[in-house]
Amino acid sequence: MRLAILFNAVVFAAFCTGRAEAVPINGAAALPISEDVWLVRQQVRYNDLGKDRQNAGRKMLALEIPALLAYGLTAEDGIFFVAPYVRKAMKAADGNWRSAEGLGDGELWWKHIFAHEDAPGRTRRWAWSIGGSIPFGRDDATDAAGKPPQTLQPASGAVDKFGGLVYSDQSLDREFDVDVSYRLRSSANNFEYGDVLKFNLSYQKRFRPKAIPSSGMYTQVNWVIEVNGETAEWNHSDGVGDLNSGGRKVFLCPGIQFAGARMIAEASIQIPFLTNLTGRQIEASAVYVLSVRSIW
Amino acid sequence: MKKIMAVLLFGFFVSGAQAAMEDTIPPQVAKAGRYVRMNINGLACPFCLYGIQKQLKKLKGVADLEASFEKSEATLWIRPASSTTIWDLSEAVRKAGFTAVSFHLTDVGRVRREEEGWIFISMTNGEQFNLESDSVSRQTDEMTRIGAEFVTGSLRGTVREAVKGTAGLSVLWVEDFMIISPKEGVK
Repeated sequence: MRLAILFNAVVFAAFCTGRAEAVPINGAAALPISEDVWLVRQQVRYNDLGKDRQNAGRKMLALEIPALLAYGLTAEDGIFFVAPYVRKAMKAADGNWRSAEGLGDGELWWKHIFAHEDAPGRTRRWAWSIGGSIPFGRDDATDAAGKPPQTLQPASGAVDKFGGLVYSDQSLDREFDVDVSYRLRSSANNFEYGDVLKFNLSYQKRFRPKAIPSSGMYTQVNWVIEVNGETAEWNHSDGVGDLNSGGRKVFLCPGIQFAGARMIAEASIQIPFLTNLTGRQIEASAVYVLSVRSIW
Repeated sequence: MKKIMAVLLFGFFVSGAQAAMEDTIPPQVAKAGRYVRMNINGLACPFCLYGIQKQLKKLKGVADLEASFEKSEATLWIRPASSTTIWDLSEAVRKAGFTAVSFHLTDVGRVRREEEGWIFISMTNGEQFNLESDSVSRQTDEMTRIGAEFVTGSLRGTVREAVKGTAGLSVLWVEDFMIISPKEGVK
C-alpha cells in the first residue's frame, strides 16, 4: 500500500505542471484527445459505504487509486488505459473486519469521434467508445481469516466488455457532457458481477476569470455539477443469482476544477441522490474524489 | 509581435529610401519571415491550445505562437527559409482536432505576371499565391506602366484557398500591398 501511495504521489508530482482540458470528474468517457498528445489522470476515490439497510452495524470502505493513461492516435481516435490500486475493508455484522488490497482489473478502450462541429469559441463532439477489462489484478487476496468474499477482492479476474456513446458541448464559459455506457460482465472464479448500464451528466461553468483576457493563456476555475447513475443486474455465484446485489443508484456530485495551463486539479463529492438497491446491501454514504490530470 | 512589426516598418522605411538605389530588398525585411493569423473554430478553452501547439511545433520554422481565445485566433511567426506552407498549418490544426477557417498573411516576396494573372512568391519559402483584389490591380497597373515584370513587395492578405505543397497555387485576397523594390525585375 505504501508503495502504491508513493507511486501515485510521484505520478501526481510529475504531471502537476502539465496542461489539460476541463471535462467531467467522475467519468473517463468524455476525456479529450488530440493527435500525438498524451493524457494522464490520477485519481483517489474514497468510497464510504456506511448505510446498513439491515441495521446490523455493517460498514464498508473502499479506497481506489486509478491511474489513467491515454494517447491520441489521430484527431478522432484515442486509446485509453486505466489501472487501479484498490483497498477494500468490510465490517461484518459480528464486528469483525475483512479486507483485501492489490491491483484491480485494468481497462483498455478505444474512443472514436465520429462527428464534430466547430464554431468560434465553441465545439460539439459525438463519440463512441468500446473496450474491455484486462484481468491482471489480484483476485485471490487473503487476510487473517482466509480468502474474503469475491466482492471484496480488488479485481474480479473476468474479461468484461463495454461500450458507450459520448456527447460534449464546450464553449469558453461552460461545458456540458453526457455519456452512456453498458458493461457486459463475464465470469471468473465461479463468480460474475451483474451487467451495468451507466450514465453521466456533467455541467461545468467558469466562474474565474469572469472575463477572458483579450490575448494569452489564462487559468480558470470551474464549478462542476454532475449526475452519475447506474443500474446493475444481480451478481451470480456458482450460477446462482445473489438477491443482495444489483439495483439502481444515482449520485449528485458538486465539484470544483482548477485548470492551469497544462494541468487540471479537481475535487468532487458523490452524494447518493436516488438509491434503490436490491436486498440487504450496504448503501454509500458518500464518495470523495480527488483528481489531477495533465497532457503533454 | 511588436518587435516584428517594428522590424517590418523599419524595413519599409529603409526600403523606401533605398529602393531607387538598390535592387535587393533590405535585410531587415528579408529576415522578418512571415506572420500568419489563424482563425480557429472550436478553440473553446485554454487547454485546447496545447494540441495545436504540439502539432505546429513539428513544422519547420514555426515560432512565437500567441492565442486570443476571445477572438478565436492564433498568431504565429514563420521564420525565413522555412518550408512550412499555409496548407501545413491547416493540417496541423486539423490533426489537433480543430478547424482553421481563415489565414491572414503578412509576408514579403515577389509579385510577378504569369499567364493566369499576377502571382505572389513568398521569399520565406517560395509558396505561390494567385492574387486577387483591387489594391493589387492598382499596384500592378503601375508595374505595367513602368514595364516591370516583377517587383519585390510586402503584402497583407487573407488566404482564400490553401493548396497542398508549393507546386500548386493557393489563392490570396490582398488587402494591402506595398512595393519595396520597384526597380528589381525591370526588364
